[in-house]
Amino acid sequence: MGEAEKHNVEQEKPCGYNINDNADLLAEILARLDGRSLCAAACVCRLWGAVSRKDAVWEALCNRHVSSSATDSSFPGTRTVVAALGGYRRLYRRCVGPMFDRLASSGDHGPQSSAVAAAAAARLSLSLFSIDCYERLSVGGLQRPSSLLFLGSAVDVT
Amino acid sequence: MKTEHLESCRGGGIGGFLPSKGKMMAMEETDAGMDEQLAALGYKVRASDMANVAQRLEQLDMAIGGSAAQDDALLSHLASDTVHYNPSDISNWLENMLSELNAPPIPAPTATHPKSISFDFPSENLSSSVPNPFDPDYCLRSDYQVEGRSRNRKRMRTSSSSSSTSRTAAPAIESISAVVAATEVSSTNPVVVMVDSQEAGIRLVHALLACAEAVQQENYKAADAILKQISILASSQAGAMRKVAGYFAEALARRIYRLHPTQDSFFDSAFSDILEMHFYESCPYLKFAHFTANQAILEAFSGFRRVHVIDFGIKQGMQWPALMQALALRPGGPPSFRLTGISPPSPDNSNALQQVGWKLAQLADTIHVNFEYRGLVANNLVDLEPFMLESDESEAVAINSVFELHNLLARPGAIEILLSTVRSLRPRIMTVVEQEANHNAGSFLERFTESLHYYSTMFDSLEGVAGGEGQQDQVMSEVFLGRQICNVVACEGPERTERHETLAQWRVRMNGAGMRPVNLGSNAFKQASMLLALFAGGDGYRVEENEGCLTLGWHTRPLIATSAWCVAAAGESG
Repeated sequence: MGEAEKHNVEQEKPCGYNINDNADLLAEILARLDGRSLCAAACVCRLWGAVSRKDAVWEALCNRHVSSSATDSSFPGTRTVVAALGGYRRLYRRCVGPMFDRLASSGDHGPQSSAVAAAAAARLSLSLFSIDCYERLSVGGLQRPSSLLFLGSAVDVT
Repeated sequence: MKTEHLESCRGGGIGGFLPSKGKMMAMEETDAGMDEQLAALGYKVRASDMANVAQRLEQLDMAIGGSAAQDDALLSHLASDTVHYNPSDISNWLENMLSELNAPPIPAPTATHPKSISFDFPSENLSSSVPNPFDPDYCLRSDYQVEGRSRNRKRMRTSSSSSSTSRTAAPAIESISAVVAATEVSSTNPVVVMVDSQEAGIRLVHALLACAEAVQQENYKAADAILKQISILASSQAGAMRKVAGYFAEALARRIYRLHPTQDSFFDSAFSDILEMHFYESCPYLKFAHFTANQAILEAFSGFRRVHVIDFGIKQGMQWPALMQALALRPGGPPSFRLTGISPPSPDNSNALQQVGWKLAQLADTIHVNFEYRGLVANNLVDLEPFMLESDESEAVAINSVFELHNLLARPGAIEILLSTVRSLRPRIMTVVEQEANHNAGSFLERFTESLHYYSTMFDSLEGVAGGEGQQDQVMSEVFLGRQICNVVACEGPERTERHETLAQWRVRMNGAGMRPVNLGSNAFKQASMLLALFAGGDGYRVEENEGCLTLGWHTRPLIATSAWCVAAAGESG
């Protein structure tokens, strides 16, 4: 009897904390997910979808993959350029994600994930991204930009 | 189960090895001794029958071991209620085995003995019913018909044994080939061909070389005859080898018949741009070229506030977004970036050159890089004068040439003029990407042989491309390379612009023109290696360092080389 009452009382009390109340905290948490989980999280509800679309979340994800060391390119500068080229979400979707999927499937990146390799990966993904952005500039939807097809990331087809 | 190849030589004897599943040993190349040797092992074969027996052994081998799909059914069939025949009477044993194994439906109203095609004999008796070897689709068509009828989709195809026995009297080699030529590839007969694909591949290469030699000796009749055989042999191959053979055969045909590709320059230049885009997408060669050159240019530009890049062949400008992005992210901020793009005149007067500039300017604007663009139209690079490029003292100049320099070798003296123009611009760096092959020196036959190896390797590397869009890319890339092949083989004199030279030869030229090499750093190497790791099916690509230059190759064969140069100071020798 007593336990049931206590149980009822606990159910009536407010839950204490709802993550949906604090979008910034949610963003912090989602920023620690990997790409696929983040996309899945975006499908949960409207709030989560909105938070998942924040570029900062994807920026954190990209930087984790290609952790640009402090000695490498200037950090704020990178953000400006990436934003101008289309944003981190697109960078991840078009370049970083497929790149790391491909590298992981070829298997040999365990011992190799040194800072140097990560820096090379960062440069490469930015280069590829800029080419992709360049291709999008003139076509205006007539022709699919195709320089990244070799990464196997079919654009919006599946 | 490894099959060693049977080779028939004249006179009906057999040299070579018999399949290893029986307890047989290598045969010597004697005629009368055959029977006794086999008899010593316990097998009774008539000497006159040897050719036939050997061939049917081969058939049997392929029937048993040829198709992976049929393996299980076959082996279980063999293992279970098989009647075992006495193998000592080989001819009959083979017939029985073959008739058992060939019970699965392989409809072949006619069958032929194409195996012993040999072509070092005059071929007047070839009939005229062989389809036109000019048509590059020819090989594909005949191949599809054969494949459509045979269930065995791998290279080996079997023929029914019943009809083969009717042609036993081991005929002379000459008439075998005549039979083949006349009946094999007629388009109405669904011919199922038994060909040992690997050996046919070797013979195909020999045929191509023999044809080239005939062309060199100006023996055009023989060359024409050999061409027909090339077409037949090529249809038995799969994949890259067939396509390469097709392009080389077409080029040889053009050379023999003096058919120059119709120079419709409007269609031509638009088409080659499209082809080059597909080549860019499907394989890493152009991307490798761009990335390694950009890295060298980026490093040479460090510290300069104003930079100027002169691109000898701007095409679609795909190289420059990445450089602009890297300049934008440079510690200390981007320099002001000036680009001069040079291109041949566009026949329809479209301002493609300007459009490239607009696109690049748009991109530069979004990433906040000061950008200036100038387009120069030049029929030939040698017409460039330093004043046209309007470079001033305070800016760092880089010159970029991707697959452009070799075209100048068609006119004697042109390359020296261009290099002296380059020197007078005093560039900080000149990046040169060229094919790593010697397609310019020596006789026609040497050139042919070299280019055959080179393009076979290139086509092999393209085979890994998969997927729907990838297929189209692959085909277009092959057409793109096919045009180069045509130029290398079929043209001469000033028309032959694809005059590739090796890195070593370019080193000599550049040193002679007063340039000294600049080492491409490890950053370029790492970026290139990572780029290659991204190409699916690209395990065969190799980046190698060659005395400060980088080469990209397929397995052991380097195919393109990037090098960087700067002006040697006075007093430095090359």
